[in-house]
Amino acid sequence: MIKMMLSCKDISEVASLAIDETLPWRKRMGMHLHLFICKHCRTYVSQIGFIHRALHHRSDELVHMGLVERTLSVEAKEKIREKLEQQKG
Amino acid sequence: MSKLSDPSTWPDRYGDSLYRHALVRLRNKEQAEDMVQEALLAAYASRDTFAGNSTEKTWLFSILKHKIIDYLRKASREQPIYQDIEQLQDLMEENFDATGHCTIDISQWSDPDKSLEQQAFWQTLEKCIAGLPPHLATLFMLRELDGLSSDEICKELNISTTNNLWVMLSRTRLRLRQCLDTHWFRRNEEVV
Ligand SMILES: [Zn+2]
Repeated sequence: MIKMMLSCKDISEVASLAIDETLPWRKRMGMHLHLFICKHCRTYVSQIGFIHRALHHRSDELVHMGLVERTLSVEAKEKIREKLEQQKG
Repeated sequence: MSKLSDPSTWPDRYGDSLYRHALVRLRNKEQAEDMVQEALLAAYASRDTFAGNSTEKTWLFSILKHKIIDYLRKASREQPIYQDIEQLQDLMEENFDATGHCTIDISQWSDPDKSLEQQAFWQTLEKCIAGLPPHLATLFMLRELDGLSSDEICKELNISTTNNLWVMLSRTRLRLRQCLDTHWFRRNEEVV
């Protein structure tokens, strides 16, 4: 008998895998079967999907919202330029 | 090297964008600065290999990406990434019972997309990422932001099987979800 019924813990792994890879059909079936009967996991899956989408925008938003420095400091640039000049010899 | 511009102009022309690229992945100013410096010096040293198939900027970015992976590889030699994942073990026990049944209350987030417009949300997300084991966080960022393939990551970082990697990624997501739930979504509900 094929183990079709996945646990919630299994779903936390399979649902994450579904974000990164294409699931083999058996796992996909198992996941949908579980989601059909488990509201917790349906919510969980939608929330990690949301996090995935948020991370996709993260670089742009951090810059846009001024949460990371936009520029390399003048000193750092100068230091790198000097090192490059040294290498040129 | 006729196709390349004068290297001494690189820091001014590309420094800022290279720096931002490194900073959102490493989340540390000094490390990000070092990475830019290493990448530009390495680029200069291997200037003869620039084939002109891509733009100078694209070429410099690809060197920076490799430098960040190198950095992570060295760091993970000192403290193997699987140790990071052990730190997330108690998280599993918190979330699931012995039969794998979910034991915590997962309730719906109200209008999560609206959060994306709020600066405070992004600050909270940064804190949650900062709370992850550091190498795991960087690995996760490379995966999410650069879409490095599983095989590539495992090979570069000596992770024995892709299955191990997938477990790491799933626990990272579990942890981030829980952190955002506690520090953002539930907190917001209390205020309303
Ligand atoms: Zn479930």
